[in-house]
Amino acid sequence: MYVYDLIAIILIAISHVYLYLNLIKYKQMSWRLLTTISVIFTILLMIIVTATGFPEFNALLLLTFLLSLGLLQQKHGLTFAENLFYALFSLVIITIYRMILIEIIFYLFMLSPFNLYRWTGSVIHLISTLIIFMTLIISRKQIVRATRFITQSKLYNMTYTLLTVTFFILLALTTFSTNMLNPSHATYSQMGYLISIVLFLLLLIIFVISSHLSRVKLEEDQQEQLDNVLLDYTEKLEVMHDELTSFRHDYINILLSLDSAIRNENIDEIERIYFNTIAPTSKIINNKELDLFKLSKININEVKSVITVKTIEAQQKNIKIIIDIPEEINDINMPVIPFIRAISIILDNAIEEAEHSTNRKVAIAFFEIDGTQSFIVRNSSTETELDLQSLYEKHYTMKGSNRGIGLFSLKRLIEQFPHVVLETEFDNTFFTQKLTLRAIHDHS
Amino acid sequence: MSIFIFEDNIIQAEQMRNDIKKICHENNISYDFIEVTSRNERLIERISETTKTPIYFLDIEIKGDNRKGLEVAQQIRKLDENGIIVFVTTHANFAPISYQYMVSALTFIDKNLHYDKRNQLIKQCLIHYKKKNESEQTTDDFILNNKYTAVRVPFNEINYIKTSEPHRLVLITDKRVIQFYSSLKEVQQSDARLLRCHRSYLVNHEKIKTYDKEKRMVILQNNEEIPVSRRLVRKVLDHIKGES
Repeated sequence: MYVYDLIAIILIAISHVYLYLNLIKYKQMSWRLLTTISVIFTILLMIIVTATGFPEFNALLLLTFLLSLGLLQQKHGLTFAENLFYALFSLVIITIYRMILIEIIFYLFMLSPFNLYRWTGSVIHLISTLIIFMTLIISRKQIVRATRFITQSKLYNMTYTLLTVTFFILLALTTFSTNMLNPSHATYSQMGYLISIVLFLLLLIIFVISSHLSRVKLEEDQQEQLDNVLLDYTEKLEVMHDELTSFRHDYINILLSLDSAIRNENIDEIERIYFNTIAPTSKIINNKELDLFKLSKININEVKSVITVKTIEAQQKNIKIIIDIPEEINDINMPVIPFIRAISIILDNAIEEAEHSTNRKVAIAFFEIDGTQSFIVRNSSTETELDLQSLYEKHYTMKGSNRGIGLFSLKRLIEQFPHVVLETEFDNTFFTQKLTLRAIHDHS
Repeated sequence: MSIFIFEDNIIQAEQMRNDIKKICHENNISYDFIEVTSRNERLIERISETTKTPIYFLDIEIKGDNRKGLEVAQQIRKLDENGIIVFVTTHANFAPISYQYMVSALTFIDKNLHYDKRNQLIKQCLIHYKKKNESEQTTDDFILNNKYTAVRVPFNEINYIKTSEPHRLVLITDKRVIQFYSSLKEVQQSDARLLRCHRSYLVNHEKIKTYDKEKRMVILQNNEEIPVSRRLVRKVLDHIKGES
């Protein structure tokens, strides 16, 4: 056995495990552990196959091995059917891909002027394995996304069947050592080989289509989110417009009553109208418009509209909103869509909580220090004591209401961005959420 | 131990100097000098003459520039990390949160408040200044700085740090929960004072009240329970013994 072969075999085992772990979204395994497990498994496999003389154990054992790895993720809601699907996927795709690669490289080699040595086969073997490995690492995100898409689409059952059939054909192809099947193998191997390639191509087509569809779906989802934000924004504008119209109407009435009071030279009546009706309006005008004006410092429309919508919503609920954006904000240190989702959750919670409190206050601050952005929301609260940790658990809601909803999703969302810090503070009936976004270009 | 007043209105500035002198006298608060100025160069110059922790009363709006106070505060922070900054302003709800975070301002005093009420607030600030100078202890912060995050918390506030997801940590104090990207190993390397008691827990040993042998848990001063792994029991016990 050449050392090339050994490396290739181990690399193949690693590829299988790596792809599988990615598919089941298990990210806690380090490269060292992954390699160790794969090496041990390869040795185990070699011992069993040589001892028993049944190469069919090869595929079967690998499948069992992957399935048992899937147990790691079972408590996170991975069903057995999905587990089997991913195991089959990893097994079948890599095996056939390798088969085809070896065939192609060998063919190319025969065309080339190089001499054929005894070790050539092993080297080709190694090269093809390396290619597989590189492909996996480079395009793992697309592969995972497309496969996840398949499991949720109508193609799921068909793909499942195709994978199972291919698996059995592969099994049949490797069993040339068993005496019983040997004759049939001799007859059908060429055909089996062909069928497996055809099936692989079919799978490939499904895969490419799903990959495309999943990208389209992602874009649609994002677009829909933006549309919703815009829709909200227009709705709020309409409400504001209505308010303004009714205000104007009232104002004209007030002026008319003033008019008659002046005509009658009734100074008491004039005074009464001024102090009771006209003077308080200055407060309304001041309060509402000024703070919204500060939002013009944010130069990202989606973010601006989200904060505007929430501000108007709060003002309608008679909550005092303080907006604190001292300097221009021209970009966000993270992708805009998840940022909008995060701040929507934070603002919704703050408004909801402030609505029930006696102080009825929400302060929103957004600013940048040395490239690090801070988005802070502070609200008055009814609670006197709060268990901050349980706030982020899955089904947490505060008693008697929907408050606290979404904080679990907020946590999950934030976890995808290493440079984002989420800080929660509860002090003296004020609840503060602070998102800190470090500049991404700092990473080098 | 000095007091700075940054104010462009001479009458208000003198008024404030007298008020502060009076409060200091009544409450036995000492200082080296009181500097009243409307020129930021002058203020920055004199920072070098101060000892311990000075206090700065800054008007936000100077000569029509309504960001001058903040600029000066930022300059002060470059030279003096621990000084107490108090903003004095006519805009009561003018940017409170961002200023607090940007220059860690202690508080805001509204010029429009009633004389007594305002002096009451000034007095609170000066008493804070006195206490801070008496304790002599400079605030000792836990600082973690990796390529993704910068977290800074006074060390004595930390209860414990735990892993929530791979590479996601949660730092827990009595009032705050901070979620950030790092590993316990990295935290341990950057601050050796934290005690590893479990695979996914680092605890501030100053906060440990006792150890529950049956449950194999460390009990903190706020009665929270932290698991201790079998192979680290010895180390944790040694630490607790060493404390008492």
